[in-house]
Amino acid sequence: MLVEKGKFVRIRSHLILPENRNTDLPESTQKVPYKMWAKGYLLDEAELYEESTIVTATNRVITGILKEVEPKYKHSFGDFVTEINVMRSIILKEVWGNDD
Amino acid sequence: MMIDTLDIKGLDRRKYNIIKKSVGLDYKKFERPGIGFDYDQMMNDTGVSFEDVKDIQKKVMVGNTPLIELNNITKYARKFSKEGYGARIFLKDEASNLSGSFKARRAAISIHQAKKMGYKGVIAATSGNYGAAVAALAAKHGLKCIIVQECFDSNNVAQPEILEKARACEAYGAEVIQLSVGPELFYAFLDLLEKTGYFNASLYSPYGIMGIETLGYEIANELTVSEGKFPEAVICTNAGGGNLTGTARGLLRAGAKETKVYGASVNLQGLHMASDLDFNRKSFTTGHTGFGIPFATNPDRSDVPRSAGRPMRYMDRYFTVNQGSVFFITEALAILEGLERGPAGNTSLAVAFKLAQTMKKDEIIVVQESEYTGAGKHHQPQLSFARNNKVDLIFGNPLEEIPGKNIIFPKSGKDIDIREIPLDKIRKSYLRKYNDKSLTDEDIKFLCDELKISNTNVTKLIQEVNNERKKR
Repeated sequence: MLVEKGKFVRIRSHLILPENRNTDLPESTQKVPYKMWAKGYLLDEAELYEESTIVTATNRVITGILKEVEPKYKHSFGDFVTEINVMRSIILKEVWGNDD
Repeated sequence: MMIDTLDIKGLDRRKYNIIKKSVGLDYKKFERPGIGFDYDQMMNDTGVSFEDVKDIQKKVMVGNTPLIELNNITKYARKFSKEGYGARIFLKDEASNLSGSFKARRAAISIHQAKKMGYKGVIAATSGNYGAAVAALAAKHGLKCIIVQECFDSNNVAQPEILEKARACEAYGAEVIQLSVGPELFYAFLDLLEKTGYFNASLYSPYGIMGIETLGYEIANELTVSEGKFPEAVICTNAGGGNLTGTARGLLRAGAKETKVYGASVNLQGLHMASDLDFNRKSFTTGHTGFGIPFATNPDRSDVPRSAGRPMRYMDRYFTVNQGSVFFITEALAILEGLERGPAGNTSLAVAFKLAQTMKKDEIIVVQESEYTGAGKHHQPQLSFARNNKVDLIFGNPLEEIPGKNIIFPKSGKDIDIREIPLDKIRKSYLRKYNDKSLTDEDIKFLCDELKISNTNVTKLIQEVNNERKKR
């Protein structure tokens, strides 16, 4: 998919390869690349999942793999958690007693 | 594009100059012969007075937050106290600050200073509320802003609380650089400082700590007016140590010399802070022992040569509490007091709930912060995320919680329990690096100030460290 110049996108790049990471790190960290994510406007048209260059909010020009076009915020209030309702009942009952 | 882009060796060589240029402070002038440095000189040499700090904060909607008595939480704690016990619990509602947390107090002074010194922009390395605070104040001063976060694990899964903080930073116009798990964040941060020439809005600079002094000062003065006395205790959620340090300094400045200052951290023992696997198995991204203990043991592990946050100089006692109890008290705060806050900022509230039961009824314990909540940060997304990461959510004995494996909620308010970390244990860890050094009188004096103990005790603890080492 070709993404047009000027689109707001998210890129990802590898700052350090696993073989160059500090050997003092826990194994799960040492064996994976050190990655960076950034957002900005595409300087030139680019293919999704290919190398691209962006200009960021502070006018820095950086390069990485184009991962997402017009990235949205995906965090939320999560799934329903029954245990919260259980805690709520415990607290209300202990402080105010049972409803008559 | 599988190439390294971070020149770690070069950055390591240049780091002193990068920091000096980006903080606008030459830390070398505070150094003394031997192991110590002049902490008071560093704190007094900023060109910003306490009166200036108050003025600066007032102009940007920072400080003078409400101090409220949590009557219903107090009533709840008294149900489990013996006759005549159950101290009054007050909360300084720091969520009312610009950007929603006490961190705005720190950022207000840093960013004011950056503007005054002519920097074009500011950078802060933080996955926490400090990012939003720096971003909001940079926006107010018309400065560029970059926030650097540790956010994702290697499977590209982000901690929801950190995503929310990134959103807040972007809402204030900041550029957010997100990184995967690892201490190399420091080098990515140095690289940005070097390339941009921006100001390092370090959490640990003297400005960052001076900004919190108003918090302790306000607590002491407000209670003098409303209750006719200083509080018996103030409890601070402790991570990097700056919150406790600044608050304690403010209390002392107001004359509250008898007020005890306690630290509280969520217990995350067993989870490695640099582990990619452990990263998303914890529910608290700050206020936990993974920061609290190492920073108390060695405050100078931060992003400046000498941290202004030095909690062991001020702390009277230090407690830990489990994640489940903090979630429980977060729920209690919402449904008993109408305050939807936290959860991380409620760590000290959970500890205060238990401690109040051991204090007399007419005594006052102040929980000195709260933080805003919302998508990602709220306890429901946190618990839902924990469950998705195979952490068991159960009711039982909170002290049996195993961080990363389960979260144990108390079955009753009476089961909220805490552990005390003996301060001598932390002091000994602090002293370990000096055990084979010959120390001068000036060195010993420095250690007395650093650890808030006498000459004799410094010598005694060093002796104990040596004996323990020989036994091994």
